[in-house]
Amino acid sequence: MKAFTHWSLFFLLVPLIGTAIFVAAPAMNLWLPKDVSVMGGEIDHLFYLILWLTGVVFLLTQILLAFFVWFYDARRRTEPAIYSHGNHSLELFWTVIPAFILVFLGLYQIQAWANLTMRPPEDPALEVEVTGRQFEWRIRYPGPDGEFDTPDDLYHVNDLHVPVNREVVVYLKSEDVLHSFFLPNLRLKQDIVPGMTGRVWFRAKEVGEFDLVCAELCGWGHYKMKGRLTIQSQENFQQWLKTMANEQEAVQ
Amino acid sequence: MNVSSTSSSIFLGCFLLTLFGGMLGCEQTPAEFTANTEGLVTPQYWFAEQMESLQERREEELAQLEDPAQQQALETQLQERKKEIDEEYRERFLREKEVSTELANVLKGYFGTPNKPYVSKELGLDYKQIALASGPTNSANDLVLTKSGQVYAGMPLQETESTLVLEDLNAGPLTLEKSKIADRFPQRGLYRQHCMHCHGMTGDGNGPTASFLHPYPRDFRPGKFKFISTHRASEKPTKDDLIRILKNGIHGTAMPAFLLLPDDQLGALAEYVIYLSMRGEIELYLRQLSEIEEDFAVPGEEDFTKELVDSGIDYVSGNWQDLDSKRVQPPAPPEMPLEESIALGRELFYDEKRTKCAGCHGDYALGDGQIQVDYWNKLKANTQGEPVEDVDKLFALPLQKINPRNLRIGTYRGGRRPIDLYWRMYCGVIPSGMPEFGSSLSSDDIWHLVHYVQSLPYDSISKAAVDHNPQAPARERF
Repeated sequence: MKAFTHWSLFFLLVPLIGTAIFVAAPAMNLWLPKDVSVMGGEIDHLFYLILWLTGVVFLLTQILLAFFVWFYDARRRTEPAIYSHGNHSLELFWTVIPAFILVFLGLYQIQAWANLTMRPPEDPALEVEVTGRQFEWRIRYPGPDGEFDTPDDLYHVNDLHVPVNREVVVYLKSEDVLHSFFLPNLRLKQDIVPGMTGRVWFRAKEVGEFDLVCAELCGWGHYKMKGRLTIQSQENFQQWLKTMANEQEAVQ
Repeated sequence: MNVSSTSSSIFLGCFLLTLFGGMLGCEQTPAEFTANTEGLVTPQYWFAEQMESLQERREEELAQLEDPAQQQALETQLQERKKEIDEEYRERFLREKEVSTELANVLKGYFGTPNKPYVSKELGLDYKQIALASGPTNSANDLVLTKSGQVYAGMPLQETESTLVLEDLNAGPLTLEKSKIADRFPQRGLYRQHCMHCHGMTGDGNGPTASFLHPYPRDFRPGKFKFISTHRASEKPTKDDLIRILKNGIHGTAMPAFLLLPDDQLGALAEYVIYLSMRGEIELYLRQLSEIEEDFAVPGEEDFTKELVDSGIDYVSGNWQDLDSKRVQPPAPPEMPLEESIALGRELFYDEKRTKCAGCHGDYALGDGQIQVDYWNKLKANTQGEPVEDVDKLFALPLQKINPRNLRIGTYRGGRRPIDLYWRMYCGVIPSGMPEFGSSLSSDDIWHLVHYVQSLPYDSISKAAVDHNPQAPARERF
């Protein structure tokens, strides 16, 4: 029986299957969730940029690997192996190019990073406090007076309602352990450290119901910490606040 | 090793007296019916304790005796005692086994098992809902709708490769083709998915994650519930009460909110909790019965047992009937400026005759007045509230003391709406020691108290208890 001689083709399957998965994933609904944030495009752009860069490098190196496997096959080449000790210009080449890419990425994403973490909206339309606790999201709105810590604060749980096309600031707290406030559709993820108040902001551009999940393993009930983000039109949101306030004041 | 406690004895005492008084017409003194959990102690524990005391006696008495002959005599005496203990342990062990089997059989007859429930008609429960909540998660195959419209969960009488023979609740044995069993309830097993790991498979509040929670998850079996809107209705909540707790969770405890579950699933879970509670009450009742009634486990005495069990079922299910009509619907709050109402509420709060609120909740309402042992833990405590060591198989978790609520942090376990607070005061949170004021205070008075309690988190000195400023670090809120 003739032995299998085309191992190089086998190794070529790695880049092929890898690429095929990436091409097929969006069609199979396994790709990024729908982006409904004004800032989301920026994040996705960075994601795709890095994906392309690493993707190209991945393909090149894998194809090169397959080529070497084929080229240096002992059955094909009979001359003995030569052991070399480095090639100065080659090493310079593959050190300087990645370093250059890294510096480029570092500079390129500075704006996005600053927008996400250093430039809070000056006059947000809504401030809301979200407190993670094992295992739920406790939500507090400041109520009609716009100030927390007053008797008209509105309390809710697991269902974060926000208006569309408005700046929203979320204060993040934890009552117990590390949690991570993750809104996949808004491309927003922020760890919550107990004892610290986190602050994130976003502006949604589409109404709908989306996931709010905990992205930091926070205990045995971590999977339970699935909430809902409800993005509503301004009128519906105000209406909802009013309904909530009435419910909270129920005396019958 | 007497584990009796006042409130449990009152409850079970009344319960049993009602039953025996009416049915047997025999003169039983209340003393015989005081609930002691002694009967609930395992034979193994009893044996260990006997051996320990024997050892103590030996060490004490041997030290006092110097004459070897006397010592020898004592040893013989002790040996005999040891034999007696062995004999009794044997008896207790066999009896326990017999009783357990009998109990399991009786319970199965009336309730099926929590995994494959059966609901006899007398219970007045919605079987479809219970079927939805029970069983393995997402399982549908063992659940079928029979010709007569009954849902039947599990327990096939006969099974071949293609057919099942089930006992239809109305029409008797029924053969069904497996291929035609509709996948009607893909969401089965809700209880296992969401509740079981804390509340336990049988609702005994002792699931795998129970022991590291404070307070413990609720043990449904004694049939006691804290957050109720019914007054003097054996501490039973309406179904709406249960669903509200499911939806909002119990802030300050480990009970999370299930707000996003669909309504039919919440309804099913609430119904299942009622089912588990009924089943548990009957289970505990049967255990007590097995201690009092010698014939309980003797085969051939079934009729007598059946009557007793039937009346127990009537009593338990009766407590759950018509609760909606017993729901307290308060009149509107009195019309007066809020500040005046708060001031009146404050007076009531510190009233040492009418309310004694400060006695438990503390002079500053910080919940530091008096540490309590709640109903479920009382079953594990002696009359002084000290832990009893004999943690037996029915109440396996160690004693846990609970604090009265700190009213200044704005965390309200049973809900924060005024009506919720009104119910807490009107109906009480009886199992935890919070008395009901529905009988002693007017509705206006209760409203004043509600207003005062609602104002407390915003009182100037409350800032020290918790900082509400979102910019400030979060503090513990329970």
